[in-house]
Amino acid sequence: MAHAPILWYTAFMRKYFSLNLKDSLITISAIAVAFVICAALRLFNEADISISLIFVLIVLIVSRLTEGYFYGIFASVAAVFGVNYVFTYPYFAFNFTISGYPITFLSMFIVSVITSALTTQVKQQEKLRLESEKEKLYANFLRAISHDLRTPLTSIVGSASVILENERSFTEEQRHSMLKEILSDATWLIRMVENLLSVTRMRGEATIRKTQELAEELIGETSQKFKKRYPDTVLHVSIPAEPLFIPMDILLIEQVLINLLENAVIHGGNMTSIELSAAVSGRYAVFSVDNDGDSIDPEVIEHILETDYFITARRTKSDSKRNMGIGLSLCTSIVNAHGGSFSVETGGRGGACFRFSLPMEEGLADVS
Amino acid sequence: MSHKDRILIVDDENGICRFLSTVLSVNNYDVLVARTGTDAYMMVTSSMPDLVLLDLGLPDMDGIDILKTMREWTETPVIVVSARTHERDKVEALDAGADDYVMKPFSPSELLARIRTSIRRSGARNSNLKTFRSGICRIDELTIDYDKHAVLLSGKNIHLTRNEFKIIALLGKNAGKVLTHAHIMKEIWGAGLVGDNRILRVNMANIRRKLEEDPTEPKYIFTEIGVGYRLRETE
Repeated sequence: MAHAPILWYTAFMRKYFSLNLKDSLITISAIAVAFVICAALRLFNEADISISLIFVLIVLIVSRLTEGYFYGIFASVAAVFGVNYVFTYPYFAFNFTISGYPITFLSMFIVSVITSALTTQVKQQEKLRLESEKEKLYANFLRAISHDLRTPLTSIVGSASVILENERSFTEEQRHSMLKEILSDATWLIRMVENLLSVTRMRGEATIRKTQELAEELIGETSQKFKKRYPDTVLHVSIPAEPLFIPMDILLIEQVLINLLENAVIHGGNMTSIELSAAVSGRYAVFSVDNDGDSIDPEVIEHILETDYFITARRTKSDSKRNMGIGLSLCTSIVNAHGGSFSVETGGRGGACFRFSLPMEEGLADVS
Repeated sequence: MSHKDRILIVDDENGICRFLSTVLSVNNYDVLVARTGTDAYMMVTSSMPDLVLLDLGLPDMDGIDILKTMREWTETPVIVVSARTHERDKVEALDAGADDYVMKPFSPSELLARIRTSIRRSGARNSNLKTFRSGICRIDELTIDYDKHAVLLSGKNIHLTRNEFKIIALLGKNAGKVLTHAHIMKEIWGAGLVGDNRILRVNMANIRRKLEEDPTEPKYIFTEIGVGYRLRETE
């Protein structure tokens, strides 16, 4: 790989010594300002000492405002030559040889270069710190997920190896129930992965790609998918009589509805039926998922939509409610990204009622 | 059993290949496996499979390219099996000539149903479109009469506009197959309108209200979210 050093060198140069118009303008105008100030000072005071200080300050400002090391070093060089040319004897001529000058200008140059290098370094450290903070958040998220994934995986691996090792000693019935357990855990994993994919879909693009979608197609598809997974649960669906178009990323909104429906099944307690509806309210389309199961604790309602509620709560409580945290916080972020709002309350039928609204026109997203 | 249908599995993952081979041979299919795109090309030409299960992520080439090349000279049904989740990939595969699209993870029963449909459809195509020779397509209570330009539901005539009939006729001719929005738009309204498929959705909403008792629980016309529509196939 003969190219490697060259590639490394170009990457290095691009990172620390890249040029751009904005930074060039900043540098040139900063130096010009320094000259004007020094010329003004010169009118009042013959002392040379303040001039080099002002230039060092300018070098510092330039390093702070520009990217990379180049402009700071450029400003240092320009300052040394400029001061020597304009402000020191002989005026308007270069002369570094007069007694005392070499030391003075050399120290001015070193001070400004070090100043610029330090400033740039501090700036880069700040950037790194921000990045590591983001990494930390991401790591926390990954940890929470890995924890959630480990439980069903343990049970799958355990059941499968027990069956393989003791193939004969199990009754038909026992084997059947263990296989069913494996299947249900694996299915749960699939759903988890679907949520994770939605997360990457959200992170992948800066803004959500909305297209006009028919509410009845969304709700029809969602309810069919749901009924396939939970054939025993009663799901009532209601939609507006007229075709209703709503701008959305339909796969993400479908994921929201599926998560809310599944939450009702898993956490609804004595739930017997779920109502899924879409209606128009002003300039928003409002979706609601309402069930007649156990009501949720008012204290939980208050915090349920906070993104990290479940991740922090899980540290103290058992993990019986796994997946709910990621599912719900994903729901809120999807709805928020659409410019809508999300709410939970105790519904008219006793159980939790999740409601979210989506703006029907593109422009509305900015208002809310 | 005089003839076993032969299925070519194109996939580079051992686990998937083994699982598919087992499921398919248990269900009385002849199974061939290709691990790379190059092998797939060779086996399609040499062993003439009745159906190809094509994975899009192959080590040596993009599955879509294999599909496109195959479509230049053969109508062998291709079902794309892929872990890619974006609906754009689905649309691309269908528009490139795939007969169907199954997303990983899928259930074996679902895959088998899709395989049966695709093989049956291609059989019908080869035996000179016997379904359409009579000019009539029957799906449960729904009848599409191509000669008379009429659609009947439980024997009763349903009034459809010209475009609505054209759409249902197009879906009927491809019953069981997903037609992408772009494909339907092009067939009905010509190439000019492709891009904004709102008009298609509105027509579809109207058809649904005329043919389906409950539009959210369709019996005939199914929506593939973000992709297109599919009419239930003739039993």
